[in-house]
Amino acid sequence: MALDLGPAANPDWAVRAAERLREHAPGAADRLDSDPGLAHRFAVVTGASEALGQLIAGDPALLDILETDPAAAGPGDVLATAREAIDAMAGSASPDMLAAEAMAATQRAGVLRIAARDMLGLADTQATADELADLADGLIQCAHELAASGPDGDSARLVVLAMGKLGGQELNYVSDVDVLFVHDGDTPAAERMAKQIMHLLGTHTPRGAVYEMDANLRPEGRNGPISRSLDSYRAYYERWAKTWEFQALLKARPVAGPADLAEAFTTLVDPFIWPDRLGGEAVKEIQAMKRRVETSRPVTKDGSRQLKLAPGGLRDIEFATQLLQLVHGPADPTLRHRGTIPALKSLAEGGYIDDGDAALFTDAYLFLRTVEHRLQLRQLRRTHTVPAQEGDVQRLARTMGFRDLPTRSASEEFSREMVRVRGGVRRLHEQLFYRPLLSTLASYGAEERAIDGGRFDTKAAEQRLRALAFDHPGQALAHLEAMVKGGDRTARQLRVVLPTMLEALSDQPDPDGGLKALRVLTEELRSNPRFIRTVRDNPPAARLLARVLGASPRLGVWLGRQPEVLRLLDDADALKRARTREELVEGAIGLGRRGGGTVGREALRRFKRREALRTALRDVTDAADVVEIGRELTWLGEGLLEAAVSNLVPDEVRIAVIGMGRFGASELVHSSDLDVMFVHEGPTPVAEHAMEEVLEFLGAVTPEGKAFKVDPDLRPEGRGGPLTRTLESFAAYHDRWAEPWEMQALTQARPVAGDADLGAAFMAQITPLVYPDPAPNDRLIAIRQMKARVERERAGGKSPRPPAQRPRRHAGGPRRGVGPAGAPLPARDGAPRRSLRTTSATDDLKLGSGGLSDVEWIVQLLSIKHGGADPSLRGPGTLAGLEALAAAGVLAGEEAAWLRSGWTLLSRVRNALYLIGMRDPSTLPNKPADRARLAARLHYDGVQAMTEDIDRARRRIRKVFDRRFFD
Amino acid sequence: MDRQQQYVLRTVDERNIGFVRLWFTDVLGSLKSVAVTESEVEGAFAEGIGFDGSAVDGFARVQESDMLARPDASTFQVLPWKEGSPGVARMFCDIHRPEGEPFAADPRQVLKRNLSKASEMGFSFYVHPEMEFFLFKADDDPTPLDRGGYFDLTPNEIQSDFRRQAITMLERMGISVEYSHHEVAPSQHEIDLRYADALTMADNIMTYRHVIKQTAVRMGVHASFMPKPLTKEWGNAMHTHLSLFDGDANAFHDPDDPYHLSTIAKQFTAGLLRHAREITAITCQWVNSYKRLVPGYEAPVFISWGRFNRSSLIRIPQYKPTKGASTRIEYRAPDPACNPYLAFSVMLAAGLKGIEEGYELPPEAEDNIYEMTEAERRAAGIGSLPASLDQALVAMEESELVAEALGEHVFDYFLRNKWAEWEEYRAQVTPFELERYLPTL
Repeated sequence: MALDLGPAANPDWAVRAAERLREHAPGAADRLDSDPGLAHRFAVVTGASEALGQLIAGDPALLDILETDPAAAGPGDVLATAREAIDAMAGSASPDMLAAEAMAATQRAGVLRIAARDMLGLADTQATADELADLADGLIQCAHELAASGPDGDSARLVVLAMGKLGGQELNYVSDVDVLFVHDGDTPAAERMAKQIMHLLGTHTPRGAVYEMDANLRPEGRNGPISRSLDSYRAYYERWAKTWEFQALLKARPVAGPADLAEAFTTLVDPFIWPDRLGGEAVKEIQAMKRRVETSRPVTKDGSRQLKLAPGGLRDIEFATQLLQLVHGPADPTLRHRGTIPALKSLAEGGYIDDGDAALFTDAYLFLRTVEHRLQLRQLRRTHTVPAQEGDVQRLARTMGFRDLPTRSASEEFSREMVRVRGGVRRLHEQLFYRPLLSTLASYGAEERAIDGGRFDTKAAEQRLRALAFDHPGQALAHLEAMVKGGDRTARQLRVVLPTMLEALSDQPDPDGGLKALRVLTEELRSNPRFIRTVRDNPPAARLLARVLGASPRLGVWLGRQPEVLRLLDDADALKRARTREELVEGAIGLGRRGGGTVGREALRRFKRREALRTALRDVTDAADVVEIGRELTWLGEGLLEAAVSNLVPDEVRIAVIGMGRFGASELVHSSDLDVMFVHEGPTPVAEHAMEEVLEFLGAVTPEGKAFKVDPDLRPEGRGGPLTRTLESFAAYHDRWAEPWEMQALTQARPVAGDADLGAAFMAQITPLVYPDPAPNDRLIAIRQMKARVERERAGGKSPRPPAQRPRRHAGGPRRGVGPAGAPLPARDGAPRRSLRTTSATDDLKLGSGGLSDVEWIVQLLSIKHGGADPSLRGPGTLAGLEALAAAGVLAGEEAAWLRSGWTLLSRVRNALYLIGMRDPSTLPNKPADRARLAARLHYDGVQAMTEDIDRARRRIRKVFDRRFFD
Repeated sequence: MDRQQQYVLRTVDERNIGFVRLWFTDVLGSLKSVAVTESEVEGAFAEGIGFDGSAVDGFARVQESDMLARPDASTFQVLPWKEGSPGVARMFCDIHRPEGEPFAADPRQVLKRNLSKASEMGFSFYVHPEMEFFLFKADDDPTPLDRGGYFDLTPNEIQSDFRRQAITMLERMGISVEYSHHEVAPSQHEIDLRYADALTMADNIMTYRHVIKQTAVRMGVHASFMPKPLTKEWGNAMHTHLSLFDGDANAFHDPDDPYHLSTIAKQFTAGLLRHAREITAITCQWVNSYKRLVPGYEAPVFISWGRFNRSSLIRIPQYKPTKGASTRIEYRAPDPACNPYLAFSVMLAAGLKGIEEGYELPPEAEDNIYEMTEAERRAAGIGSLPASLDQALVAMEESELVAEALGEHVFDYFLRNKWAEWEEYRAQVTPFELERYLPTL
């Protein structure tokens, strides 16, 4: 015998099947020799399925099916065949058991017929799925007939509904069959019928079970009654059902039983699946479902070989399609299909998705389903995983029709195709959800493609935006419209890139604010070629820009003024790189060199804004932590001062700029001013004049804004004192007049710009004054009293009259809130020695109890107290001070750790508050929405998790404060 | 909507319930109740019932005062003392913030959080409290009934009748009673609840206190859980038996150990001992609680453990060979006026800390600690419980463990509230002072 193996995908399987047939039934095998057509079809089927080869060997009569090209069979044909088979059964088992066995045989024969049509190319994937569903439908109808012909059939009527894949007519070769029962008449009788149907179809016979049956999609799942009356369903759906249950009903399809009852059920559930309007609760559930699918993909050992669950898999397509149906189906009945492919088609027809996308996803869906079919065909086992072994992949590829080419094997070709399909699907949210929005908007009034007869109108678009994250869809739509309307190039290019950006925005703390910022930005940069290039040619950059704007809409304004900074987005690594001090200082001074010695004010302001923006971008993208941010901002300030000083100070004087406060500490936040003092050598009037010029040069508001607010008010005598002093003048003042708070402020002093020698001389002069050994007790007491008074004033209590020369400010000390600000507190409630937080002070991150200033005061006080004897404890910087105090054993390791982490957290919160655009970046906002955005910006799961962390940090800070500050 | 909720709605329908009381507990352990009509129950399940949290002790900062009470259907019970039609039922609630997050300062949520930590470590937490209370003539007259003669029935008949009625009520509310008896002091009673998981038990204790009070009102007497109402009599304790289970197995049991205690049990006990001072403000939360914790009335004063020694803070009940599952330890400090959710939370947290850190159990105190000298106690490493509320608060303030167990919000509120109570108490001139000083000074 010579079996023509040419058409077999896997000739060795076909050979083995033929051998096995010859062994079991030599007569039947002879038929292959005598009938070339039969042999051809046999080779094709068994070359794709080992299981079917075995099936034929076990029941050679099945060869009849392959005698000619088999025809499709509808449910009615299947029913008739099954009845015949049942009538032909004889045996000692119960009638139900015999019937089940006959139906199982019918099912197997049906699968062989369908597989033959599939592999012979007589039916495509869609048709194959339909035929598999018809097979199941016919068998269910058969089981229903059997059950209804019994005595219970007289007292009740029962309808079987197909759910899930069978409902959607998307059955695999091996699938669970999901069903739901509805009845009228006698309930116990109906329940018995339903159970009999489940038994007939699900029980194990010598030929296996007909199907794996599952009725657990019913109300209350396995605990609920197996069948319900219409009234019972109505009561349940009216009161209890969850959104997902209605989503499941989307696929419900009557299969067997009286048509009028089936119709009545459909009429009953329709309004539940398609409410007049999507409620807020439903929108939330849809958003939650979207998040769940995106974030919690089961990490299976199979990874991307999973056809169903891996990114870009079948589930993604099905889910996105259903989501769009749920969003738009209530308003548009034409979208109410059970199957994914018809749904995609009608979504495209209505203009809800683009035709091209619909085609792409339909193709991808069919491709993946075909892979699934062929995969299951081999052993007739339920699997959704592409095999790992090369040999198995090769076999699968061949059943898919791929053949070895001179340059590539079939499996290579197949794997390439898989990657291509997956890659297309992965961007599906952008494409399906957002792109059509823009096509629709663009078509209004413009001569662009108008979607004739499209029903994806503004209202539908708003619904979609709301379902996908935007709280104010009306405004969002207006912004989008403004961006893409009109036929100019920018609008066209935005239309291409916006879907990506919208998807990126939707995950951010403030999608609405981000979209608005994006609109403003595009309006400003409409004709900026760099902007257009960035967003058009570089999708990662466009996504990054969207993320930035969604996290911090205010940065959009900055970007509008400094479009050159967009360049940083082009290269994913550019933002990761920290600036060095040299770069920043050289950069600022270099401006002067290029300008022929004079630094242009405007150039300097642009430089500052560019660099500050860069730092903010590093913050918002989490490329730098709060310490790095503080350092870079400090260096930037130093660079600007250096440029100003070198530009404006005449040769006859020498000037050193001393940084104070957070500037001296190198711990600036985005919102910081630069606290400074000036020291000079040479004619005082000249120096004073020069310094006034420096302040004006940096601080004046020009069309480019101001560079930095430089604040010299910490100098001796504050605003009333001379702007700059000589070393001698400082010495005389410090000797006679200096207050304890001034000495405390000087702990943070550090030369930041100007004449380095003079700066060093200043430091050498003040160091013994700041750190005497031993520290004078009255100074420590005065500092403690000052802190206590500040707190008392903040709490709204009456203060003793301030001393005549009460400092307007001091380092790390009160800036705002000094004086009778703040509401009166409830009566003092703790023991006097306990400094418990008061509610109204809780939200002030800086001056409130356990706030930043507590940390700074502890560090400064302890460094004064112990710095005289131990030089390692001297010098500016809160974190540096903490480290030194811990190393010297002044603070316990745990105490220092609490202060460090608390100070860092609160500083991060301040920077975050600034970035999300709060006017007061030192106070936790009151509005729940603002708090929610803050929590999202800081990557907390919820507001309570954030406040718990902040509260803990502040409690611990205060605990250390209580222990250490007064000792 | 789940089956439990459906069951509730069906029952409300079938048994003609007119009102359902939604119960929750404030930070100090008082029972709060919002009544809804039968028609509102369904909405309460779906969306919760809104209320102003700022009106509840310890709940909210002003700007976040909107709260939702969402009933826990599994706690549905018809109130047996509200007979007639329409009937009244109750459910315990979980408190949520308007955005839907469970509210972190809801004591029930605090306990749930601690229980879920235990379950991450593989344990479930079971408790069995012995609840004691007094019956008095009236809420302004602490005269024990035993010495009365005021009533038509003889006092003893009233009292046994009381217990019978109370137990019937409890059983009708699905709360199993282990046993009950007259306590040592006149007019003092103990009704023990059968052991249960800590959340159920905390709910049960809230119900129990309510049932006892209600029964007393119906009988024209006053029931009190005040820790120490009579100076020279025993106080009301809530000795609490604790055990951890790992699945169906008692994780405290080790048949081979001389004490029949597993390493887990020993570490748990060590944790409770080491953190006992810190958690006492929660288990004994009133000024009056510390009047109970004095020598002479079998109340714990010192931090020790033992098998037979009833003066110990932790007693290991005698082991019965047939009952490995009943191995447990008995923590004797709590009084029945505590907030059971918070008290169970801190006891659990202290014990789990012992397991996490592998604390070593100190040796058993075999002698009567009250007969030891101060020096002997110090030599044996036996510390003492806080002697007053302010001492307890100082210890709690320093405790990271308690802050973690309660959450910052509850921790902060509780301390503030209790310091205020202490300050108010401190300013009182007591009868003791007047008696002692007025005649002579």
